Amino acid sequence: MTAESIQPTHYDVELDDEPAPSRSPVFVDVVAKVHEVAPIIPANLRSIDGIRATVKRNVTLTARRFAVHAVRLPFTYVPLAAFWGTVGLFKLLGRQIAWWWLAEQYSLRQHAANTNDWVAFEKLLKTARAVRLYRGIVLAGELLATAAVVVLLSVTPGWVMVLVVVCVLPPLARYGRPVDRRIVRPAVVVNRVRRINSDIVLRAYYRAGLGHPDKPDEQITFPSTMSRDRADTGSEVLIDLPYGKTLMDAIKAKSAIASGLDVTEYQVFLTRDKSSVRRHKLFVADHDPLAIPVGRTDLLDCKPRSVWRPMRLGRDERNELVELYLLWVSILIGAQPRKGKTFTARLIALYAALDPWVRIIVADGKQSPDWDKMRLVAHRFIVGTHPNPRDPDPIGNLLAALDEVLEHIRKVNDVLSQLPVDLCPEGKLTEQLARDPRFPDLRVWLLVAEEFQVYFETEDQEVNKQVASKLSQIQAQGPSAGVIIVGASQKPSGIGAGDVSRLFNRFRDNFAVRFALRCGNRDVSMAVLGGDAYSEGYDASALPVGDEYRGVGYLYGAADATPTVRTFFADHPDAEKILKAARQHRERAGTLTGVAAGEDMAREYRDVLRDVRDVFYAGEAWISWEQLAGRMAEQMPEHYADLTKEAISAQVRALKAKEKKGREGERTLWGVPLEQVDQAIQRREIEGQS
Amino acid sequence: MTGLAWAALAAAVAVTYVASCWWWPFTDCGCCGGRGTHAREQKGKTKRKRVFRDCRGWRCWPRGCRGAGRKLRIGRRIWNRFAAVRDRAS
Repeated sequence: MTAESIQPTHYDVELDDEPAPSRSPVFVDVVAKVHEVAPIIPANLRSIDGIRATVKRNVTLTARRFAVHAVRLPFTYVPLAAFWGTVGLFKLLGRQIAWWWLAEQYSLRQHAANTNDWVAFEKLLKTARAVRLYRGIVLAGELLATAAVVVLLSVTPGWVMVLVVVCVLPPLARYGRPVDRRIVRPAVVVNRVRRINSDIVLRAYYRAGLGHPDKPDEQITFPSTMSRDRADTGSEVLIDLPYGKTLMDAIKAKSAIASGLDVTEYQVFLTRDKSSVRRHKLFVADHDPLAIPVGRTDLLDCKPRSVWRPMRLGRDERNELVELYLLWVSILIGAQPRKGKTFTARLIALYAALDPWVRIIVADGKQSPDWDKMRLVAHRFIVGTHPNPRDPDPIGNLLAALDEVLEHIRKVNDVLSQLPVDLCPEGKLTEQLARDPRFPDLRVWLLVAEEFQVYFETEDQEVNKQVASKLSQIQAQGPSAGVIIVGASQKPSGIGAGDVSRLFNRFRDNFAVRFALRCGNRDVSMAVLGGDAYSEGYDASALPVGDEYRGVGYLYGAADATPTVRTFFADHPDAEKILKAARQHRERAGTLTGVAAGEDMAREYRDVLRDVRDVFYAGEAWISWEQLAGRMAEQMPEHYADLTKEAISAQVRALKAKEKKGREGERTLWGVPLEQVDQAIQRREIEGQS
Repeated sequence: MTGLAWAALAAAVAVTYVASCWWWPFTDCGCCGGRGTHAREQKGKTKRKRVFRDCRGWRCWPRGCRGAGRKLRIGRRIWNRFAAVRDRAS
């Protein structure tokens, strides 16, 4: 093979000439129109439950209509019918006279007069006279017949007269009333329902700028046919956005879509479809579902509950029950004031209270009366941040409570690690173990912290650090040991500085389940729900405002879906009733402890180092033994009433806190620096953990 | 008081007249008495003969009916004039 015989194979070589551009039409494939098919059997009649619900709804509606009309009949309908019936009688007479007198010819005669056409006028007048003669005879006959009937009625029984009136009056009243004034007003107001179809949806999406009808690659398509949802509360359809568009684009344009659909923004729900990021489900509710209250909580039956079963939290936008499984999770609830935050947290606490095996700790940073009745069942109850009549030492109580929770976590893990496999197959707390009297330490605990951010912002930085550290530790280790944490806050962000801020953020970010009611702005919503939720389209600052929307929020992280939940309602009297029942359950089970059992939890045990630390004033770096003994005797007389400076000096030094000389007024005295006390506490904790 | 009574009487008459003009807009021609023609004896001949002419021309001006025998009443003429002005305005 010679070099000349080798043909070039490089693709740069032009094999053919460039074809001349053609001006002939280019045909495209004909895309068949996807027809919408109506379901043979409506969605609400496809199951026994659906049929039953439909029949029940219609029967209820009909009964209500009957009742309303029966009440209105004597007071409204009969007087109105009598009045408009009289009007109708005169109206009928006037119409007959007009018919007799050939009133429709008046305009023709006047036209003839206007045009000075006397011939036409004469002709019309002649015709009118003839017709009037005939019609007059007819009306005279009618008058005679009516008179005969009246005479006949005067000799018949009264019920016949009533029957005639009942038959004659309604048509006369209907004829006499103005068109816009109904006598029988509807008993059930039928709200305006927007039935969507594919054209409306397309119009809405195109107007929202999510596609273009004339550009083939920017058209909106429907992978499914439009249908009613199972509960028959709205219409839904799957939607494929053009390539390159995502659900976020649709969510940002939600208001425009709602406008295009001619409904309110709160009737439009866009949910992600797992098959593609450009596919989502559009649900358009017939009515604003969030404005319909879901009623009071079922906890009012006061029966015992199990925290190992999901609690009924509320109903979603499709009126389906939303349940929340409390175990192994921590729950963050965030909202503006007066939006239902406390009620939601308390609803969860009430559910736990009805399980007599759950130990409850409540830290009410808001210091409101909403939580007061929890004392009936609470193991510990902390109120506020400063000493107050309801809690003389809230910070001390909180730290002790957190220590107790940490100790409980340690004990649970210790006990579980020692249990045989047949009792504890997965190394986790089980319902049986949590109720087993042989293991009193294996209980589920619930820690409720209302406005928990205030405990990160006390005047004492050291306290802030301790609270932040302990809460973060509980947050990290607690859920797996059966400690449920419920935190409620108005604004869980921008708290503290340095370590406190870092620990606060860690504490906040580790909440597994988030429930955001109406928030003040997008930043707060993101702080409550997290940034991911916002990117998925959940912005609690966009939730509707109004009294009817209290208790409405996004439940994020509890399941794959993020429902918009209308929480069940339990007000203060309801809470009291439930808590009284819960206390009785606990008394029967013998699980009443702590504050609820009347124990003085504030000074349950003596911790010298902690007590020394607590009597330091803010900003105080050193204290003399003499002053320390005096303060401790004054503030904690139950433990240190007879304390001397020598005794406290010996105890503190024995706990490895070195003494140091310092100035107190003009005297130089021995005492202990705050730094040494803190170091001794830390040292003890490290040794304890090891 | 007398003036007021006269005014009321005049108003009643006016209203009645206007209503009658609306109800009966035409009346017999005042010139020919509703016949539409005028007749006279032909002079200068032995056998008398009646001669007729339509109710029009300078001898019937301004009351001639152009042979129709009927004429719009004065009130109705005024009515029509105002109606025409109103129609043009609307």
